Amino acid sequence: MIRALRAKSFLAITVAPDDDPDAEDDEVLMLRVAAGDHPAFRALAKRHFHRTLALAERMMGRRADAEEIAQETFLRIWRHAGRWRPSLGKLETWLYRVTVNLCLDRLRRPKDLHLDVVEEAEDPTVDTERQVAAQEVSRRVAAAVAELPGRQRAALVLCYHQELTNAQAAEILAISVWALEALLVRARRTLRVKLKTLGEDLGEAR
Amino acid sequence: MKVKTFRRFVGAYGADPARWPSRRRAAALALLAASDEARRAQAEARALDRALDQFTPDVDSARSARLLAGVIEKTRTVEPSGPIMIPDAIDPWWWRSAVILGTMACLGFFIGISGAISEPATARSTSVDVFTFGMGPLARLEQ
Repeated sequence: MIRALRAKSFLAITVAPDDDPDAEDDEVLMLRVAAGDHPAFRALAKRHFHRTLALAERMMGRRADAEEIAQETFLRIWRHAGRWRPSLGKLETWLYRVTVNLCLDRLRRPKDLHLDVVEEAEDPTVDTERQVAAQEVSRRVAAAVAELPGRQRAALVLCYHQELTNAQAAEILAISVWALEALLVRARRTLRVKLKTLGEDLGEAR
Repeated sequence: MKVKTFRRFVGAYGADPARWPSRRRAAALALLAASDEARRAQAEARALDRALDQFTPDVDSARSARLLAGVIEKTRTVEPSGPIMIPDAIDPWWWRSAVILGTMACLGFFIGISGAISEPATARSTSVDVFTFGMGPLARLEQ
């Protein structure tokens, strides 16, 4: 693995800067980023930023915090790209670990700084009853998720919304798969109680 | 898979088999085909899945692109730490093991040397026996 990485490293640093970074895989891009290659960083960020922002937003429930965390994550990727190696796991896993840790750190700060949940964007052109109902459901779910303890929230968002495998999510949270399942069970049990009436409404609607 | 295990399983991963861990999916599906109770548990989990599917933060691509442009701008004033070159022979796992074994070997060598030089013969045999057998009969016999 290391031999292959070195071969790729050689290619990345000596040959690839003129190549199209969008066509490169994450490993090669990270090696180029570690060497200070801006186009490689741009390609990497373009590939992963959107999902990272969505993860941070679901974790934090507050847009301003999520934006700050997603940006900080990618600045750290830029600064510390040289520390990453394929033997540490997929880049996506490393990226999400940085994001989740930043989120958990932020959530440990005094509660009064995060009272509000995701602010919904108001689109004056769309004002149908259905749209309003969907926003209300989303708001209620976001509020219920925001009340979960940080690690339960992280387990749920990583497995359900980011669609990672249980092994990847467990690795990000530095726990066993069994412990991850326990977090998921507790999170979903709590949400089922909090969203009981909502679930019934949704069930009837379909 | 038993129904109790299945309840925990869908309680963790939800109702959609596509989201279930592949190693246990076949067993879960087999139980689902045979058990009404399992199907009820799946239906309960599905209701929550529907609610979670509505949890869609408004992350549009224009906003994402604007934030990303901000990050890229900041990287122009910050230097990355640079690649860490790791020789083939110093893979982290081997490196740690080699350091631990080397330290233990050196420690053992120096303990052995210092014991052989500093202690008289009779005292040495007693101390070794006591060390080896605790306060057993052999240690007392030597004294």
